[in-house]
Amino acid sequence: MPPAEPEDEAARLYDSLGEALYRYASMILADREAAEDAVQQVFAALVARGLRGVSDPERYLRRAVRNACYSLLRQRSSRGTPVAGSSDADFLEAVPGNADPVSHEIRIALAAAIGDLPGEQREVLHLHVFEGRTFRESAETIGESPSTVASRYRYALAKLRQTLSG
Amino acid sequence: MNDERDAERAPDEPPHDEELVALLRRVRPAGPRPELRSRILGASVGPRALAWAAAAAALLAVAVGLPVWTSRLAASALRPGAIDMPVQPLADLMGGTEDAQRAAVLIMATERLRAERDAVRGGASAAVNP
Repeated sequence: MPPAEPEDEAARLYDSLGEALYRYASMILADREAAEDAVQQVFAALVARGLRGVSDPERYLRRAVRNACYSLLRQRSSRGTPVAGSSDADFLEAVPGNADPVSHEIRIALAAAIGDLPGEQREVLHLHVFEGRTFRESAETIGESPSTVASRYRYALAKLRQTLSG
Repeated sequence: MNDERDAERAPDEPPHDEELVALLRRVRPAGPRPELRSRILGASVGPRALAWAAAAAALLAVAVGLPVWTSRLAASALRPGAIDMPVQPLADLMGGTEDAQRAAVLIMATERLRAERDAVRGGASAAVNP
């Protein structure tokens, strides 16, 4: 069977992983448009170069999206655009079908508080709370130690507590 | 309602982590807009398309650039003093007058243009048919 064309492979991977990768990018960046840029950048490279020698496409794509996100955050930071507080509240949505749906005001407050966190803390929050990964699994995903991940998580919660009750 | 509890909470009373995490679990990062898929997969340019684009750009550059380049070369070659080395012996051979000087410049410029043009045509042909 001939190998799949990079375009077809990219379409297949986008259909299976695109949404999760986008949510991941959206949380690291706290910005939907920037998340679109990051995901588009990664998939454009995938179409151009294919997945030669990649044994675990999901892991590879997550790393690539992560790198693209931090690169965008660095660019924003070096241009003097404030990273904290630059978030758009739309990057968070209420979980559909929840018996106790979150109000618009609470969602806006949460988005602002999460947007004020550093990208690394938002990332850990995402992996642990929204993707349900353990600290060890999150650590493997981002290439840090479990204690670093746990520490970022604790700092994130403490800052959120402070912001939301302030 | 948790929202009501949150609203009633005193500002100096921080929520416990469990409550905060429960609150966080009622939201999630938004999913991609449906048009992102077509934007990503439709706009991406594969290697084959890039190769064709490069070939088309090379042909366009030759087609547009060659006449412009030759006319500029002719203009610069016909400037007085632009070609000096072999002109003088030829002018002397033709009588050494002012007219002979001008004719020698013209002849040498024409020869040089022809040689340059042949070289470019040879290069362009090699680029299109490697």
